[in-house]
Amino acid sequence: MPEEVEKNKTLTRPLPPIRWWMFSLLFLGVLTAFTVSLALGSVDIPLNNVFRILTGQIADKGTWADIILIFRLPKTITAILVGAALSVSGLQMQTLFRNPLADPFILGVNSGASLGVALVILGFGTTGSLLLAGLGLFGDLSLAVAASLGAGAVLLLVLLIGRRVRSPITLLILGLMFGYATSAIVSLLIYFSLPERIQTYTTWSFGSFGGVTWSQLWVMVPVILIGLGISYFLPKSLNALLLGEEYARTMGLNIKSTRFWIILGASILAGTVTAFCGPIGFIGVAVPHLCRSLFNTSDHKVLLPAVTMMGAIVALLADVIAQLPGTQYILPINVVTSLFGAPFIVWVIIRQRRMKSTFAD
Amino acid sequence: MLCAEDISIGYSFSRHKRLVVAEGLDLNLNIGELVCLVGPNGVGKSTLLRSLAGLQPLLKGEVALLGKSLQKIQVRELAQSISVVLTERVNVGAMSAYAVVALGRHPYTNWLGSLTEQDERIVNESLRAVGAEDLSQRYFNELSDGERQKIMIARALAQEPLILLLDEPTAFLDLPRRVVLIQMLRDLAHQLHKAILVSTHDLDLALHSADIIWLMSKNSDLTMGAPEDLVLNGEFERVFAQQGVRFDSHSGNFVFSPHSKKSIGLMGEGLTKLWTSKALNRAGFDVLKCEQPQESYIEVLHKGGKTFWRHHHGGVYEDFATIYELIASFNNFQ
Repeated sequence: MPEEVEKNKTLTRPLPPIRWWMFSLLFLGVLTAFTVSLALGSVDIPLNNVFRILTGQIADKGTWADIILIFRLPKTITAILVGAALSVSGLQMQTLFRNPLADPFILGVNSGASLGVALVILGFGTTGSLLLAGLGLFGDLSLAVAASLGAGAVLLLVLLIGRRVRSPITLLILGLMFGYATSAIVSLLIYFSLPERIQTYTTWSFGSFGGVTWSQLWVMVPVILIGLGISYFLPKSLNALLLGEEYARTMGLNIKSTRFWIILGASILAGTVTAFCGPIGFIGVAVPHLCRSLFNTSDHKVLLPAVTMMGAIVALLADVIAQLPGTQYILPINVVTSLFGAPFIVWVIIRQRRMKSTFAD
Repeated sequence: MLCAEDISIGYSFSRHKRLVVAEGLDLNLNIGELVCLVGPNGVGKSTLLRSLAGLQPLLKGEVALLGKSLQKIQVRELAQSISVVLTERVNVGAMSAYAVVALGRHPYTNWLGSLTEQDERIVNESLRAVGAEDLSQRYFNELSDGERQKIMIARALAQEPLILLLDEPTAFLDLPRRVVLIQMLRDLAHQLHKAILVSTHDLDLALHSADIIWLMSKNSDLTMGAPEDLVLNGEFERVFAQQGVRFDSHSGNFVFSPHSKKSIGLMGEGLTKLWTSKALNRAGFDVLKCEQPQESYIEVLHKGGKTFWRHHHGGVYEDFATIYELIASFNNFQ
């Protein structure tokens, strides 16, 4: 009898099915943002011309084709990759650590990358860059290589430790400590550096989609696709982890290997982004929350594709705003994501009261 | 079914440092029985349960499922035989109760976790078995504690286990719901032919519903038997004797036994006498039957349709209109 009373207290609400129309809407959003981001910038190019250039026809002005094909297209593709990568990575970290504040960089991948870059820019200065450039093959990739090495080193460290520790919280604390240590070293390097080198480092740390060239994309695209591929194999495991590691284990989940793949996938994604575009915050934390709230589910089979597309949209929009269309100025991407994104997310969260319950823990 | 001989349970921190919670345990879990694991706090009930579930390694010996060591069974295979309901409250975010139960199909589904028709049927059967069909379409986070517990049990059933281990499933529930839950587990054990092991603090409930009780005590021994056996051979009394409570074998109840033992006589009849006696016990007295006046005794009197209590003490007496006042007077007296 008391059960009856309880039942009436909360209304029975039918659960939304996987909403295909919402996915279509998201996909449409990606296409729109993609086109808009190609059209807007210091020079605004009419949409019909954008389509013509993309389909290989002649545009009204010859320079427009160059602007789009050489500058904007690689930047736009980068934005899509970055948005998707950070969101997927953030989603996995939030579930693995059951912590709403977890982001792709929580294990210190970012700090490792920063240290690599700082060492190149501040430590070795130009000789360091020349040294790396001298390796051939990479050419303008020197910063990316340094960042990748730094991120990779941290990743290896975390994976090694991750096999030994019992609780993911320990990993979290280790990542945090590692972040402190590396930022201390970076500060030390800055302290003893020349102002112009510090400027270079600071610019890198602002994050940018614009620095990625076609030749770099040849590296970035496959690596990100590998990272996404790993993540897309994990929805079942991630769902099981929603109940916590212990339950997941009693349901037949191999915790150690699952943890390995989650960390590997998420860190490849985060590390690659940082290597090519600098540390880009906000997207990795916010987009998973946004999607949980919009789709009202924590089912990773829905969330993984949703955050992939939503992440791309958010990154593209941030890029459009960063270009300050019609002006010659470009804002750092981190400034835009946080300054414009944060109030928007706050608004969504406040509107969706159920937000709190849509997150594990 | 699930069988262990001379096992030690506990935690090992490093090669040299370890905490043995209990050792030399022999046990055996049979199909179709509801087993209640009881014992004082901190005696290692949860540790034992978790060790049997394979959630933590044994310090010594091995647990065998159908003659095969747990350590040698793949996690996925193990999940098809043993399922667990833990004490911790889970927060799964926005998921329907149905989806939570469906997670129980984890060891059977493909890499994507898609449910086949058979999976769906089993999820529905599990929901029906715990009487939670009407909850299936609601968000798990919106359910009450009792409803969540049902769903978690349904999830465990969806694993189609031979053995179900539950760690304090009654902890968050009120009394009526505890009774209902234990009855349900009993039915599941008997009708679906599962072996169900429940650790619980609810001794009364365990006494009334378990097929077998595993009684764990501080000096790491485990006594097994039907509840009545354990009462009659004094095991219950022995295990809980150290705890400041006394098991009264006559009433099947636990009574407090405060340190200072005094005795007092009680004269009276019927229900009033019974409850007065309980109150005096609570106040720390051994109640003695008394037929005639003594040095100090309580007399229950009925006069003019009213009941009152008369405390005789060394020839003088005092009257009290309620038991509360009577007991309060003792406290003032001290």
